[in-house]
Amino acid sequence: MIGIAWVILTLYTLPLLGILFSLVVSEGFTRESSAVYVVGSITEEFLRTLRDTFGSLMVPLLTAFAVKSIGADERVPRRTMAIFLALAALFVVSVVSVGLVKFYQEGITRHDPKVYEAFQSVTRSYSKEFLTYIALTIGISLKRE
Amino acid sequence: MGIGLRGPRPHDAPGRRRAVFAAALVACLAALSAHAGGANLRATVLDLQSGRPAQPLHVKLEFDAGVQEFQRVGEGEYALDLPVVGKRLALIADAPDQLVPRRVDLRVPIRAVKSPLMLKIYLADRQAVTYQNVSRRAAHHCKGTEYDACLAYFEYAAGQVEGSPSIDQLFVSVEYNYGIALRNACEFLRYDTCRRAIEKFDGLTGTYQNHPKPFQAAELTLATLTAAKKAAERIEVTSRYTGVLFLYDAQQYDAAAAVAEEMIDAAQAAEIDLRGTGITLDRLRQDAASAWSLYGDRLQAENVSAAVEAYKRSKAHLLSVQTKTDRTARELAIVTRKIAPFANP
Repeated sequence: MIGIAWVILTLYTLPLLGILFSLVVSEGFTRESSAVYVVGSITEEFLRTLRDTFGSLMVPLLTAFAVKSIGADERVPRRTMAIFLALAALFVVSVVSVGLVKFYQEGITRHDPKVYEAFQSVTRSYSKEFLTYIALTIGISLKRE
Repeated sequence: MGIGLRGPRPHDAPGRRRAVFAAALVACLAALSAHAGGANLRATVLDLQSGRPAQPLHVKLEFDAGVQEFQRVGEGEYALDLPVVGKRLALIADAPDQLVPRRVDLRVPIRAVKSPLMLKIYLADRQAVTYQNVSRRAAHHCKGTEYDACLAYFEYAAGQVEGSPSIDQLFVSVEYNYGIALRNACEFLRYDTCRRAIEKFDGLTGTYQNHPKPFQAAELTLATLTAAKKAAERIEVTSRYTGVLFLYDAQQYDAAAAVAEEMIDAAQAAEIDLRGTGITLDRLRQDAASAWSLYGDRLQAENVSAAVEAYKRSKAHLLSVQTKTDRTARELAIVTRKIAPFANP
């Protein structure tokens, strides 16, 4: 089951990773790269139709690996910890991406203003959603003393 | 039946004559309307995207002595009586918000203009400047001979990218194409844009030294930029020289001599490079000498001292010719003879 969770998480973060990939390939969006257009299209589609479906996949998966009724001083299961750390890292990546997208606004807009809008929306929503998933993984299930 | 219809029938002749006369009358009226009110400068202002007549707010002509407004004579068509002063003039089209205003600097020795000067000016739309739009619009506007359309677009695009702090592929691509559009407008439309094209290529060459990557992405090498600049310099020289011939042809000898002298001074100060143009300093000196000599001939009847001064300038130019030919010797002898009666009054 944990394998499926990782695959789903990877698929879910693909647009975010794609943005970073296109940033590298286009040398900081200073040269025209088809990767920017491709990732832009994927991101637009993700925002329009796939995001909600991914949400409905992620919630039960994360709930399944969430911390189950443990005290504050008790040891968190290793798998839960791994998922938590991965989500925390992705949250950091998404927040950094928000900044990068803003910083490279001109270069992205020169490819297509719609791509910039999509990149901006998706990085912002990733930040919010990762925080929600982190809360889902640790907060909700933590046993109150 | 067929044979009967082949030849002209006698009773048709008056009808045909009437038709020919009417056609001739229409042509005459059209020609007259083209010159209506002495309007020897006509401008058609078009929307770049649609190609239809644009509705500019004002179309003005700026020249040395001031500004003159064009008269609207049709849909997107404007006419003006070309002023007879000054060397340079600029057409200004103020556009409504959705279109970009234009200023077109013209390189016309306007005293020499005899027939109406026709201009076709495009006003660019404010479309976002992106890689794909630039590529599409360049393919659309810059392939044929609509040099002003190409210039209008890249003038707008350059205005959009020039303010940006980053130097990227689009910046380089737009700036280079703008330089080419300026150069073409100078060569084919008699716009006064050669110097700006040279400066543009100069600027790009400087940028290349510090930021070569965007140029590599745009597939532009230093050799390409240097060649573009050299070509623009050549065009500048030949177009200025064309001005000398144009003025000479129009018997504006003093103006022709003045332009030739300007070129001599510029070449001696290394501001222009005559190499590869087929124009030499000697040729310019000889042209200036011929022009001053003929100008002196014209002045002789009304102002003898000015005529002598013109002959002296002519002689000075002939004496400074480095490689003297038979023509030089012949002209020198003629000018010396012209001065002789006034040398010892």
